[in-house]
Amino acid sequence: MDINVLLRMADQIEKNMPFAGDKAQLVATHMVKFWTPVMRADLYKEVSSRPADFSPVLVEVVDIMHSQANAVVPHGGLKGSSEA
Amino acid sequence: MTSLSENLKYVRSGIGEPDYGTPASTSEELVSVTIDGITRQVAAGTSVMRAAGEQGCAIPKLCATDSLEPFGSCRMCVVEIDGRRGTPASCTTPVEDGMVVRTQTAKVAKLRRNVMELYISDHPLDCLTCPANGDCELQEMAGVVGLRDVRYGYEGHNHLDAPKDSSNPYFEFDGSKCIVCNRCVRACDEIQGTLALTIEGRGFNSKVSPGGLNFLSSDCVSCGACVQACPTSTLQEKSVIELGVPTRTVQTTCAYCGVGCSFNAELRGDELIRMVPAKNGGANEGHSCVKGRFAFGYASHKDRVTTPMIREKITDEWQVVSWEEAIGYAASKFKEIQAKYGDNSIGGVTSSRCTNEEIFVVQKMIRAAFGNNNVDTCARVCHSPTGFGLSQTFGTSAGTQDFKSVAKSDAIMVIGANPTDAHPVFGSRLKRRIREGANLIVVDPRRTDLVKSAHIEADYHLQLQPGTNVAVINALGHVVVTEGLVDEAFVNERCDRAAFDRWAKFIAQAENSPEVVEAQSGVPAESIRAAARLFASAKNGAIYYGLGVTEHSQGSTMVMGMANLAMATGNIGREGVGVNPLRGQNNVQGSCDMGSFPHELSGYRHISDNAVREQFESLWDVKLMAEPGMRIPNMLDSAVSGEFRGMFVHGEDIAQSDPNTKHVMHALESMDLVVVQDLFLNETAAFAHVFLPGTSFLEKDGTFTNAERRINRVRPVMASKTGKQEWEIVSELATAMGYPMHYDNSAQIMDEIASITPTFANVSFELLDRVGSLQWPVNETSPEGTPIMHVDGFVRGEGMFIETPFVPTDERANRKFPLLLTTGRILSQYNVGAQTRRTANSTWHPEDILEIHEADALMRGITDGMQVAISSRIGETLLKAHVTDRVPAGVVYTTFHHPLSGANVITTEYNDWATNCPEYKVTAVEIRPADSGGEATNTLDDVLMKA
Repeated sequence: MDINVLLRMADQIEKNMPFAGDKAQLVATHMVKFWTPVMRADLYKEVSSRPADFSPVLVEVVDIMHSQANAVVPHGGLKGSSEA
Repeated sequence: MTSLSENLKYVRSGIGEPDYGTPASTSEELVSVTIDGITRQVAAGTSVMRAAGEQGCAIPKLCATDSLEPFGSCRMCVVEIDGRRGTPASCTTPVEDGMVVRTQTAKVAKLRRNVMELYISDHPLDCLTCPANGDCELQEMAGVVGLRDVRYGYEGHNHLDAPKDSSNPYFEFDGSKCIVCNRCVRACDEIQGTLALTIEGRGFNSKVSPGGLNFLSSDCVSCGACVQACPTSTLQEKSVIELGVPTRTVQTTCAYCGVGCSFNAELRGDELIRMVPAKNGGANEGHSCVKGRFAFGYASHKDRVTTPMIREKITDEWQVVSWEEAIGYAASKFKEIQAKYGDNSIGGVTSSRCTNEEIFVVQKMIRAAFGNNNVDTCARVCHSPTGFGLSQTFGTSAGTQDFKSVAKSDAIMVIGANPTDAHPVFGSRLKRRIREGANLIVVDPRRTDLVKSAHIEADYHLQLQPGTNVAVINALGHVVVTEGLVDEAFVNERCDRAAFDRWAKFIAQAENSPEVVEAQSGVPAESIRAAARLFASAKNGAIYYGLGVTEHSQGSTMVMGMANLAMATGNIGREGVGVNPLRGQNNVQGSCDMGSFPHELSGYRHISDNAVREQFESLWDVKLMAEPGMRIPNMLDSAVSGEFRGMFVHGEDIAQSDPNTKHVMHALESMDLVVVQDLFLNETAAFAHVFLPGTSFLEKDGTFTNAERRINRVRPVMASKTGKQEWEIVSELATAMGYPMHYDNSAQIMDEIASITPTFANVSFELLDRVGSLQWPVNETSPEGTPIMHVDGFVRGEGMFIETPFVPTDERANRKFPLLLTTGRILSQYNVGAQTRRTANSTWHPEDILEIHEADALMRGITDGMQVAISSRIGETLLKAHVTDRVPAGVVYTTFHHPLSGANVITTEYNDWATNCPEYKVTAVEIRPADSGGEATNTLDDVLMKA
């Protein structure tokens, strides 16, 4: 996928994330819930290659996702994730 | 006590439903009444006519029908009541405790016969050649009362030469046959709420009139309520006139909007004559709209393709092939692509126009046979934010109420929805409640008919700028919190208090005040304050919303904002309240329920949930991927970049319906294999290599789930024109891909769904056929369904308040594109028009129109009816202008029913932050007269030529 599309999606999620708590963790959780591993890996590759060009939150987001083995939420997965 | 009589004779036709003459009483009090020697307990308020009918003693009638309030004009239903003088009309006389009624005495028999004689003295005696012969209440009643002779002759003044009005494409009005019973006028008033009909003149000159005009040019919306109510052949379907009275019926479910009306498909042999709304339909209770009632002809339209076709390249001619060849070709191509580009290089889209069973099988094919989770549904582009928002706040991805609930609402807020056009049967329920006195708040950039129409006027129209929904909902919440209007008891008992406190602190900030929001939204602060007070102080406040909420970059945030407001005001968990999405297509709810989203399995369970996934793996005997797959926009983006190479498109026209047409077409033409399963060679099929013909709703066997979570049976009215059900084709494709899949019938598929989806646990065709319909959850706790959600507690436990900061969309009006375009639907057309454009509904809406305010038109030299070019930063298209004050200055509006209009040529790639639902409702544009020069760029023609 075009990396600019992914970056724009990430920017929108970061700007709009409404839930209380650690923003980077929330954005990372959202991406793990709804993004494919390839999309997450592409985002990591881009952001980690030039972190100074991105928000500190986004840099932290990709680090969080990268640190999770296979970027899959463990312990039985995610609940209440629906968008239907 | 006799139950509702099954042998009640007086019905509209031999195959129609029983007619008890007056509506059922809702009273719980019982009274004892004796009718013709039989003593029974009946609900207080029941008419004598209905009480008699319920015990099988039908009283003759003409002006009464049980869908309308009693009128008492025809004098056919007179009875004798002990202790009362005269012969009261049984339709307008309620039963009383101890009442003794005699319905068949010599006195009333003579009266009825004399009254009937007068009616017949001014009625054509052409029964044998009349279209309603055998389906006419007047004819039947003449027989019932024993009329043998008319003493008055036909030489005097009469109406026998009254003209016919054939202007409506679907029905005819023959004034010579009218008995002026007022049933049509009352149906238009009471049921539809349009008030298009009236009785013109007085005395003998009284006649039914559509406002002095013909039907086509009148306010009539062709819902068919008048035709259904007519006891004679005065208002008659043209299909009956042409083809004859139907002789058998099959009950099924409409395939248009998310209301999901039940219809009796009435046939003569194997020919469908008419669709009559079913009185026992839970969603519609006997009402219909012009689409469901009349616009079914597309199913047998000449454009229908019923044979499989393939082609190597999209520039080749289609080759008609056998099912085996088409399926084998598709399977081998899909496998080739995966071998070359990897498992994730293909995927598919399910259709909200198809049955639950078909959808379930498609997503199963993709997960099990394709071996990935690249499955998405057209709900992506309409109500995906509903699921996200309601899931986060309430814990489930569905509306909270049944449609009936609106009858108990005292303040109704309609946000970004136009139900009288897009969900007309619910719109009629809503209008009825408004006429009864409920307050109405409309939040919409455009002045819809709900804002002001016959006997309807909104208390407040918050006419906001497109893109500012969240600001306005926050301002409403601000007033509730800062003016002490919170339902503290509800919040304390039912909601997460800490979350509420966080939200209350956020919402009370000055940035959310109506005074600040006025500058952003254009809505006067005092109107916001007054609307908030009205909603919060109502006994029952209900929110209904549509795509004007979801199709924004903050669609999901707005859904959560509405949920916050409903919880703060205590408006969840009983009749008359709730947060209610008006779903766009007939089975949007079902397509989501069935596991069409790439990240979740049926019943909204995440694919990464090991326990859930293992259940499916065990049942399906296959290993499933544990990661989310691609959404539709991800698939299209990946197609452009070359990683995604093959797509199965099930009953969805993404080339017309998805935003930024040029991008969508580029993605489609970039793929090595596009398989389209549809009724017609739609816009997407222009890019397809395999076409698998689909079945219309009249041929399907399965279920739809409507916007109120109601699972309705879809029964085959006629044999499949392709020779197969769609789930059979999908199963054969999965099998050809190497994953054996077989079902004997669609009931087996529902059994599989029920076995593995907790909210569908007790659902079966057998139960549906027995009880009519079921609203999920249907399980051990609620074996016959759940009309209202969150009654004793939220599905997620405690209701969750979520802060909803307003983040303006990046799509802004500017000097180059100073106007904001928003889009919507019109009554007679449906979505991309594939169905309705192939019916006479195009009589009313032959092309899409651009609504523009007079001030904007004036400064651009645009006049009403002028062809204009409308351009955005994405592209340009042409539309005809309509100068109107329905839209405010700075805003323009159009529909998207006609492919030539190319509305999505100009919509942008912006979408909801959480779900990628496109931002159809906000596009910065400029308008100019089409002949004013300037080069059109990226017009639909250009795009098609390049494709």
